[in-house]
Amino acid sequence: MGEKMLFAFISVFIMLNYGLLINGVIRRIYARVGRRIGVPVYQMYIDLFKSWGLRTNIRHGTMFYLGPVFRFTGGVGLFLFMPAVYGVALFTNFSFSGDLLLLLSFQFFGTLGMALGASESGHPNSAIGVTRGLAQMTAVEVPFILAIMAVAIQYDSLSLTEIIAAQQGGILHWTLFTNPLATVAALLAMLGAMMRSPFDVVLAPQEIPIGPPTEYHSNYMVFLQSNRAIFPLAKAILFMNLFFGGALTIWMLLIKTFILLMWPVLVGVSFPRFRVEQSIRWFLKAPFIIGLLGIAYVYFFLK
Amino acid sequence: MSNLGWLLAISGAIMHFLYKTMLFQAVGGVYSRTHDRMMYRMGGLIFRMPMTFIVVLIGIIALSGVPPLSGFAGKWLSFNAILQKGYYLQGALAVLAGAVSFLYLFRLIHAPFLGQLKDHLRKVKEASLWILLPQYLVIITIMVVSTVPGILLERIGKMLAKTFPDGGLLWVESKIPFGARTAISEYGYWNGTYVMIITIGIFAILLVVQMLLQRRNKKVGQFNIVYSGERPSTPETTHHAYHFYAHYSKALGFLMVPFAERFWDWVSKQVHDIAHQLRQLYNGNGQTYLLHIMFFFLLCYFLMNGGF
Repeated sequence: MGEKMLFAFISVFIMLNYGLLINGVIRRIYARVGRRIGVPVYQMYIDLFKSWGLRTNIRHGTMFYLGPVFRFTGGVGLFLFMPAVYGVALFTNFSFSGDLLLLLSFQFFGTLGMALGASESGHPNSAIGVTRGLAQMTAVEVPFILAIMAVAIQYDSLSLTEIIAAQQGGILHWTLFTNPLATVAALLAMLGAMMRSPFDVVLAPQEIPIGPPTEYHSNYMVFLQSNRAIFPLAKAILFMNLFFGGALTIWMLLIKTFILLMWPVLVGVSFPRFRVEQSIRWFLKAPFIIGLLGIAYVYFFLK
Repeated sequence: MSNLGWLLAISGAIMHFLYKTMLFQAVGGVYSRTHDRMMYRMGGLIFRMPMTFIVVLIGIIALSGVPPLSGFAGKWLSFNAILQKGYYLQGALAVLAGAVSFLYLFRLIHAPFLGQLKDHLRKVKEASLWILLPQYLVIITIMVVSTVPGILLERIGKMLAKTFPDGGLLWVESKIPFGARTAISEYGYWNGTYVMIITIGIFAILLVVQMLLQRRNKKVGQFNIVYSGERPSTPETTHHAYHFYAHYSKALGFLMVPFAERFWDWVSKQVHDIAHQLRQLYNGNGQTYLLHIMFFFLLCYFLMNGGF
């Protein structure tokens, strides 16, 4: 167990730094699309240390204080409950604890804690951000669950390790090619899960005093920014394992997750923002139907 | 019904009974102090009734099936049972229901307990010990079952194996210490003890880091929030708790309208449309009526002279 814990620390440390650098790169891409020069790629480190150094240090109550801890636990936990690199002990993490369903449900751990913490601040904008977030998240889950269902039926398994193993042996064995409909449904759901435009009204980055993190400042931001580095990366690893054949080496992991994380960025820089009710309707139309077709495809053609 | 189906039904009934008992008692405790049933009129009760808040917190985490608490066992079992039987679409609906349950459960904790403390609740006391005591006994039970799910599921499974020998869970000793047993189904696996230990482990490490980072953390007053340079003073206008999921009612509210209502709305719209067309003929204008009379005479003239 001691060895496992050491490996977990190392893999979390590597992923945290990789996530921070990717976030820097993404900010730079957004800037370049908007014809600005943008921040240096290491800006996220500067932000972290700046937030760390701020002297303002207040809380509205215990739940407020624990909110970022819940959030970060959710991000790190999601990463640690799945195998990041197939067959490499250093990155197998604690994937023996549970299967795909554990990952699906554990995503909500951080969301719930953060929502409770932000709500305790008593700021109406925090509560509005939370309602937007929860409403949109449930709609995003619809196509995503259908896609997961299709994958589970296809491979007769909920174990992520077995799903990765079944996709080995060439690029044509990936779920992307064996079940393209489920992959499309999941990729559309991924847009909503990554909190980028057109689905970023939850965070509302332009209207600064709106969204769940309104009241979180200084040292709380250290946790929230770190989580924003590791949580999307963990989700990208989940998508990679389910649909893109997993990774056999750390380099393959880094390349595949980078390409996957560029998909929401590509859509994000191209499309304006949806209101929450628009995004709910959007997820319940095309992605929902494609998800259903994905299950039908597995049921009639692959079984 | 299969072995897993029965296991889900029996264990689910037991666990649901525990959560709901606890939540109803907690709500009863709140009512006994506030004498109010409207959630949006409350707010900020966490500062007055922290023990009841903890009960509701654990209740909603467990009920919405978020690991590491035992509600997840029900979710996991139901998904496995559904895959085993091939009820795919029902399965997707069941998992989705778990996500949606978040929405209403969050209202239960947000509206009364979080947000701004209302003026008329400033002197409210914690619920009495005799209401809290059974709730905490239930919490202890939930925590034990969440940490070692085998004590409930494995025993029920053994009883069921006599009637339904196939398709049950397999309990395997794991190689790593603590004596935790992993539940293995036809499709997946799950070890409640590990999930609990790992989650608490990560949480504890991060909490220690946060405490080190924030050694001088101070609690601030109620209205000390970032509010565009203003300082709000009335909790009623600052606590967002009414019409909470406005987005959903905007997006999908039309589904809530009964069919009969939509049908009669359609009928009345058609009647209005036809009447509107008729109004083009009988529009109340004398000149149009004179035109009608002229057309009538023209028609009579043509008919009397042998048609058109």
